[in-house]
Amino acid sequence: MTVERPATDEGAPPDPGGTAGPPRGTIMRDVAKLAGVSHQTVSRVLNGHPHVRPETRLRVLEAMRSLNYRRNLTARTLATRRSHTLGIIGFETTLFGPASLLYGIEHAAREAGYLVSVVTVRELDRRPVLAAMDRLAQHAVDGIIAIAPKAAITTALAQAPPGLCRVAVGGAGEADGTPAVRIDNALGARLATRHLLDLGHATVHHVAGPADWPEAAERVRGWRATLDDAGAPVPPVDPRWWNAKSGYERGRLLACDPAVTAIFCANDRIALGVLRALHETGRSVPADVSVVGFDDMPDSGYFVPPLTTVRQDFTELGRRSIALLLGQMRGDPAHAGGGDRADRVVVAPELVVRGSTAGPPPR
Amino acid sequence: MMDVARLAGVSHQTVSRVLNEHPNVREQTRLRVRAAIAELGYRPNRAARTLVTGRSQVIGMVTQNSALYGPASLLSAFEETAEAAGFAVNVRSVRSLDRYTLTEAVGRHLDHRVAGLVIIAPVASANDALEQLPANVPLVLIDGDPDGSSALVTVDQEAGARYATDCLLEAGHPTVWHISGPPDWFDSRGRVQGWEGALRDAGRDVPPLVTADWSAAAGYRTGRLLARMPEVTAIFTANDHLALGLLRALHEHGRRVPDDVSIVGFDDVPEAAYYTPPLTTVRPDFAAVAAASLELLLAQIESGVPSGDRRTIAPTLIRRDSVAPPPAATA
Repeated sequence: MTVERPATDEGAPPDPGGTAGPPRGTIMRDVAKLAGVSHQTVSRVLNGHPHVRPETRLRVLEAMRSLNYRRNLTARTLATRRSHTLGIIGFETTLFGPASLLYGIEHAAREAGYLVSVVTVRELDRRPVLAAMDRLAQHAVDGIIAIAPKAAITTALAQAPPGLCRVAVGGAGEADGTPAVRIDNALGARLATRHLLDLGHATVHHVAGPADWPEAAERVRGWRATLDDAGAPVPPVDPRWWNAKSGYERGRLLACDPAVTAIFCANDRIALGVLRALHETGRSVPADVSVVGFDDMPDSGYFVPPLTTVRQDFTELGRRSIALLLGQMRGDPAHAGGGDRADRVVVAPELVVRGSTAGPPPR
Repeated sequence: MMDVARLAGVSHQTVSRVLNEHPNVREQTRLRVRAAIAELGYRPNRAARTLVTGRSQVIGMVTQNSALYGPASLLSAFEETAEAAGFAVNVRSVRSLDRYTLTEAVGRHLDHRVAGLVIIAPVASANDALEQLPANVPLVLIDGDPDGSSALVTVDQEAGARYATDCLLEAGHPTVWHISGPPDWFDSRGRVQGWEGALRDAGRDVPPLVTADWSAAAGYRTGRLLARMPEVTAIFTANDHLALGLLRALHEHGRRVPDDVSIVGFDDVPEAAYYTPPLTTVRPDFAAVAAASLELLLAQIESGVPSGDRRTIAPTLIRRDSVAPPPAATA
């Protein structure tokens, strides 16, 4: 079934679009002439070389179109195994974190002169991730970045075909030998919890994200460690999904307990639900209860009241993950993976103080 | 391939079936073959294979890189629907839908011999580029230009805006103000038309249009002006993020929602039910948009003939707590 053919345009079968071409040399000459550029420039455009001015690329592409010629990438890919395309494996791309991460990575990839091909997986099982990786590999991507909020993704990434560069971004980055970029979630949780303790609260309650997401677990760890360090009591946690509904349900219970004066939420959507529950119960924020989120969504500054939260820099995460991948692709040993520290990038989050936090109410 | 078959303990034919994604292979067998492939580092070479078959079961999508709720939800819904139907979806995410970028993204898809193309084209700037696409490729636009000639599936923006506006008029408001999205988006245009149409049909004054973008920040900015105008008692915002920013601005100015001002949004983002107050809004049916898009695409793939068919999918008004009658005119 898989028939290897010579990797030349002459060897390719007729294009289904009816644009089968004459030999490559002739075409290149005609395109160059029509576009008013050198033969070498045409070749650069065909090979997706990053250092061609957009106007020039457009001129060449238009010349190709007017000559009714479309370069046969399928054939070319066989020859060079390079497509100047990076593959991204996405997951839960309607959640704010993964969506913003995807946006940040895509942006950084294009800044670096690469095209982006995205495959989304629906279940975080090893198998769909392997299938996604397979598909991207078949499209001859130069490297793969996976948004990896759960360990199953990094486990699957470790099984990438040899020679295919890869980077995991997100919570489960530390799971094995795959080069990884992530936010310091425990630090973010410490900043949030410390801020509330410094305001004078006796302790801080936490509405946690799903227990099988490492970033949720890391936030629990940072929160608990900060309370332990301060000798403050550690209230129980009841992990929930990353949405406003979870925050609302958990918030209704917390709101009934007058001892609760400070709540740190695992993300901003959970915090929105908590704010709603407190409002309905007649507990004022921040006069009666202080609330801190995590993420800093564009909406969060417009909550009632504007939310104090922990900001993740998704642009920086995107930039660092592309840098790590390109380093690997250049064969830079420091980025090759295998457990040393250079291929473990950890980005620090920062606390953004707005109107949802204050000292505890006077007793 | 012989090595793969030997390692997996299956026949040559079974390996071939797995590679061709043949449906009649047991899950366990499929896994065993995949595992053998992984172990041997053997890549079933789709590039070589499509040279032979000329056709793949991959649908190529192009979308503008965006964390916006509407486009992200449409993309996700289409991927899910197409995958359930046995297609793989490959997404080219582009910075903008200008002519150069779109032509290149589509070109890459065609180079990989996709079975068909789906483009989310919500902005007018894409029109120029779309005209340049080859005419013989199965193509469906989602959320594109209602006046274009390609096959198109859209949310019925105009109907949604009419539901929102009528809902506010029925509550007793003399007229309804509108904060719109960016003017180059078809979504914005359709919603403005529906709002204006509903007011005119009811014989009401059409207040000046307040133009914004899709962000809470813009809702807040424009909301600070509207909050100072006592005659403004009902506002329809082009999405829920705008409504959130508006709620914040009204709150800061001491104008209560819905007692003093009523608000209706658009989108029904998952958070809208938890705003203060929970937001009355318009919910588009993204799953129905996705299903109709796949249907139109499959019809073209099967017939081999491009079509200009179009479907508009009606949204639903979701009533929550942000609409009430206008405050009694107190002297």
